[in-house]
Amino acid sequence: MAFKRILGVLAVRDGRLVKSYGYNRWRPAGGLVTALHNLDRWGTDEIVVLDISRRATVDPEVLAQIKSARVSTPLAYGGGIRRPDDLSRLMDIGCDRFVVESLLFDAPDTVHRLADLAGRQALIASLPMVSTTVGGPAIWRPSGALPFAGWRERLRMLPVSEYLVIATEAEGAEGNFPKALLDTLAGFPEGSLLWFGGLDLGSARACLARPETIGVAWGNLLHERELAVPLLRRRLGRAHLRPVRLA
Amino acid sequence: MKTVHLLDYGVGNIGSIAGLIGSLGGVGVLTAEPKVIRTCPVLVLPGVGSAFTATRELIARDLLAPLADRHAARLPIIGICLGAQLLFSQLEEAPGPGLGFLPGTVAPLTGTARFNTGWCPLDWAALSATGFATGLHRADTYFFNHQYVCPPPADGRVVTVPGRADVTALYLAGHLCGIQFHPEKSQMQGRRLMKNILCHYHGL
Repeated sequence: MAFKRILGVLAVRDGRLVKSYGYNRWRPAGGLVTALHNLDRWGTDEIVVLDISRRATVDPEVLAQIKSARVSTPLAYGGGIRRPDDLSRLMDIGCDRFVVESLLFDAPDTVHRLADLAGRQALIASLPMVSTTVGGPAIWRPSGALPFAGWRERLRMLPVSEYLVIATEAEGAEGNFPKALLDTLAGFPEGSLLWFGGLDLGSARACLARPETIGVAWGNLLHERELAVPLLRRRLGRAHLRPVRLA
Repeated sequence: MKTVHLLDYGVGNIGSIAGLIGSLGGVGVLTAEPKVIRTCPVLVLPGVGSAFTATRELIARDLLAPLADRHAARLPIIGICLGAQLLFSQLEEAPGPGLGFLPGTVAPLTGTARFNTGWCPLDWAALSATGFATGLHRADTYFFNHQYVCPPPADGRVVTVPGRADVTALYLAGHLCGIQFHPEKSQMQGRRLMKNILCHYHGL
């Protein structure tokens, strides 16, 4: 029903915007507020702020920056969400949707409580995928990778509307997206998958052609280059994406 | 500057809507005061989240009676997203009654997609005479994020999503206006639409 989306992902670490490489190296990437304004002005379909500090709480410094930006683009936030109270604070500053990861594995009952508060349509499950030498694709966890096959059905039953599938090892390197991931996630609900990590035009088109896909996401590429979003929209074509008027 | 009151019941995108009103030259003021709810020129009923939480909060904060009085006086109420759904009599999500200002049941989306999250165009034909669509383009899209849909009000006019007549995107039923999508998160066109609506009701 809705057009598929181009998402801009802004990674923050210890309160600052960073460019991330495979989630294990980072460099400063300018101001978060400026990046939010750029993505807002350029007609991004949705902005995702991901705090990758692996904190157990939502960072008030990041929230203050989001609040001050006052964007008019849908905004999702992930990182440190542990309790329903966190969602209330995030809604107050203008966040519309919420990305959860640790809770999916450590406290699935809490995910249901979050859904009771915010609605399933507001919840996105983050799945950081990694390759393994044995046993097929896996989900990265601090305590060790979990075989995806063993979690697949449990993940499908979560009270969430979408899954942010992160090609963890390809993240930060355009063109490295592992297309085999598309088959790994085949059969997930129609319009439920968002892809992130190492996408280029070819792999993004392949993602968008899948019925399970509802969006493709880029990181710093999208806000570091002037007007990158409308250019990307033109290059990806109009088959799946909305037309956008810029001010 | 004109004041637009926003119902404060602990559920919703109040900051974003107040910011939008501010950008239009108005002042968005939160209120849970019964007297203000009963008498202010226009009241925005925001809402993000589940109907279960929203109805619980409306009851806990003793807001049902002042809202009913306002409705009886036929003063404008603009419901946004969940706020648009709460104006109906039955909510399948809650489950239980809504505010009951409009008959009908807010029910889950039908079809293969369980959620409607993303940008959709609108068919403005039913409201072409109201001025709501002034300055908007046919190809403009608006941000939706919902899994339940309002029925079309019996005596109202309805804007739908092209190709999905079952999705009531915006309705106008006398002094009640419901907006299923998020004008505050629909960029330039959302801002223009909200300006048109507030101009219609409030001369903003």
